[in-house]
Amino acid sequence: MKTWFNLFNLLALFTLFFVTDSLYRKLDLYEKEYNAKRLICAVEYAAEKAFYDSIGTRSNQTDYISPIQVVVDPGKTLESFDVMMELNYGLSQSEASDICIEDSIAGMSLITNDGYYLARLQKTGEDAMRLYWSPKYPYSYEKEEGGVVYTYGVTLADERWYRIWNKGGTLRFAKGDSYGDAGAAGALSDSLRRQIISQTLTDAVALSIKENARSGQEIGYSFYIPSRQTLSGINAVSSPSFLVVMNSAPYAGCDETLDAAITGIKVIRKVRTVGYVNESGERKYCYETQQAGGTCDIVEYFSSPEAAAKAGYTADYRFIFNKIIYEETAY
Amino acid sequence: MHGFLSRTAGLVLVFLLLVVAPLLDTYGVQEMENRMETLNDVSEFLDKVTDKGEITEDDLNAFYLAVESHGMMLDVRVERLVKTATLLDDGTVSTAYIMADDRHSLNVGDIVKVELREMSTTPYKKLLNMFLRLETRTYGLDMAKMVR
Repeated sequence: MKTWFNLFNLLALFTLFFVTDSLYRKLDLYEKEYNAKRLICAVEYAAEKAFYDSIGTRSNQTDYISPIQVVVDPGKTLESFDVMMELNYGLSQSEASDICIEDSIAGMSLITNDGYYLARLQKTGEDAMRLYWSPKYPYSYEKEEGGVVYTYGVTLADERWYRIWNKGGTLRFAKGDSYGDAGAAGALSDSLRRQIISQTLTDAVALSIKENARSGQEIGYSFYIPSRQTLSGINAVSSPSFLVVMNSAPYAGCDETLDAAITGIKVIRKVRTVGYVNESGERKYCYETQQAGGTCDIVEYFSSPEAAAKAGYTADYRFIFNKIIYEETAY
Repeated sequence: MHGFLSRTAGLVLVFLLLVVAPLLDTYGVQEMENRMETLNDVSEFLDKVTDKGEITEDDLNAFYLAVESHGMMLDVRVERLVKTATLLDDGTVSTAYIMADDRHSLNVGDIVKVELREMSTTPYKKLLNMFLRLETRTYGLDMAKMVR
């Protein structure tokens, strides 16, 4: 009888072990799924803000729907991305948090109409590694004709092109606005342009991921940007976009995330910052139309509060929380 | 004596197997599903108000009801953050996000931030604490999105 009890206890112990193990695995799976979904949302929100802050204002008549008109400046992109990720994970806004966020980025690219920027990992004064933007690289391809190698450059949304070649030791340059122009006819076409851009971006981002990989980190990405929309629904890059590929994010509870976020939002309105001198003679700024009904004349227009601050203006807290009347702004 | 001990151990094991393990499983899965649904509610709310460009009292009431309906008692805070920049003495520009009193009207570029903090314990956490003496962290969720 005792033997039966012992056998039963042993069996129960084994069963308990398996039940506990299965419960642990199940809950771990749920937690990973939750963390991954939260990270995807956070990256999407942060990428959207970073891209919005990268867009500059060229003139009153800037049409943000047209990719040709959009001026993209990467100056504030990384900072905005870091701040949004910190807000999304309740982290303090500090350099330590920035380093932690940037450690989780495998690759980042800001795609503009006539070229792209890549975020590259560089060592700072201390031991920390930070991401910095590269110079703008063009979408280019080479073609050999009659023993001369021509390098063509194309743009994302129109038929503007340029060509550089070496003739007798001198670099020659030609450019045009249509693929029918002499110099581009027969060498460039719409489909070739899409292929050049897709191939250039795919290679550049894949190389950037490899270069930015921290020591001992595995690179398991199979990265591809199609030249036209695929049947499975992956879109080609056809307008200025912001691309982020995330890696392991310890602050998000994710050991490994093989996920990419491409944000190619069409910014339909971008409100300018206005600088003015208030009744007390102080230089203040707020957003356009926020001081509607105010008596101060606008002195200067700026593309961002940072630009206004740099010019010596400070935020006017009487107006800066007011609703902006979009009908009256130029967009 | 030995027979008595094995019977007691058997009874304890049966109790663990037939009562505690299924309860932990059910409550654990329920808790994880609740968290996932709460995350969905928060992202849905953020998408809605940042697309609309305003937060009405109806939006807030519907959101509070949605997040509280998953069995967790949560403290919910919705904030509107406005970006400002200040020139520092060393010539650099410091960017700060200031919480606005008026969170109903939103401007493009503002950030809507949602903070959730769990105010009470759940059956799953009680069970974990009772049988395994595990103290798990209270649930919290921060999410922020820019107004488009």
